[in-house]
Amino acid sequence: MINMLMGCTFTLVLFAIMRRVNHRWRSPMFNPVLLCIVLISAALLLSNIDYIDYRNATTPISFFLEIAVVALAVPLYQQLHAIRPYLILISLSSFLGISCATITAFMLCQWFAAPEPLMASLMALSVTTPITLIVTDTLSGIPGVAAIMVILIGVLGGVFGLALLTLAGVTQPQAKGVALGVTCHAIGTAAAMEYHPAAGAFASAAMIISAVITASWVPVLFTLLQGIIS
Amino acid sequence: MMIALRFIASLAILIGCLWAARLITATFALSLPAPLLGLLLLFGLLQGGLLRSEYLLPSCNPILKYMALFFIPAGVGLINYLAIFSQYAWLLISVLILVPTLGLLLAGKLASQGRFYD
Repeated sequence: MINMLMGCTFTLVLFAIMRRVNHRWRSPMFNPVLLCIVLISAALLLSNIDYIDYRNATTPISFFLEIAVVALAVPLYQQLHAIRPYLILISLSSFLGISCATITAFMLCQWFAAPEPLMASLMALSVTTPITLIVTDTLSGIPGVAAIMVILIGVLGGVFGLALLTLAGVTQPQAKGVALGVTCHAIGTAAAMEYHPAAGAFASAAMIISAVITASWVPVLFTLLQGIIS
Repeated sequence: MMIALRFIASLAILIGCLWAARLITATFALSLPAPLLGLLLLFGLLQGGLLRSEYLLPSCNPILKYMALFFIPAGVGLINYLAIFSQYAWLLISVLILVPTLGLLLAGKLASQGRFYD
């Protein structure tokens, strides 16, 4: 058994150390969350501690997950005046990107005959993790699988996204930012910010808009897709 | 002392929005996730001029900056599903490659139709 003080302190300290590591070797590969999840998972497996015990010991940390979603309203409000002329374009791009991501994941799941809970965990992977976890919960998926996949997609997009977009002929920093924000959420937004300030602003707006679209649209789309298949 | 009070006050606004959203979704049996409705409520309050964003910054800045920390406990949940990871490795790898590639290309191509001014 581990208590709350131990569980939270351990997680916080490890996160602080991994952020340091990430600052030292500036690369999305050294994603602090990914490193923390892998290390804590290994520690729990090695010491034979049940996940449930760890989960209960860290409820104060998870408490902030939903609060963080509410807090996203503030940056959206602050950026709205700058992106207002592009609001419809960003929303359409988000809608297209998200629908495509969900349909692709759904078709792959059909192809590989994935069981229902696994499929439900792969439907909302393009958005920031709290929204993914909420949608995964609505669809009765597996949160652990969804969280890891979201972070890996963000890392891959952060590493290869800008080059891929240039190859595809997308040159404006704003458009690149929108694509990264829609597809690769916070990790992509960070990459966009490093690349160009305008790309960063558009990426964070696109990230929040796609969060709103995903949470309301993906459960509906998933039901529609299941209806078509059966 | 003032900093702590400001932090607590702004956190209370965020929690208030979340609870109001929970109450609304439960009362009307909405399928919309409560945190998302909370986001929209708070956005409405800011946009309507009922709240100033400066009131919220003391808690929003640190919460959004360290947001990644809050996913760690959920992510560690993967240890209960290691068998699924190995059994469906190819599915997961295909999803990891195809989902971001197609998403980036489609969203990027559509967004590049815009006329942006620097």
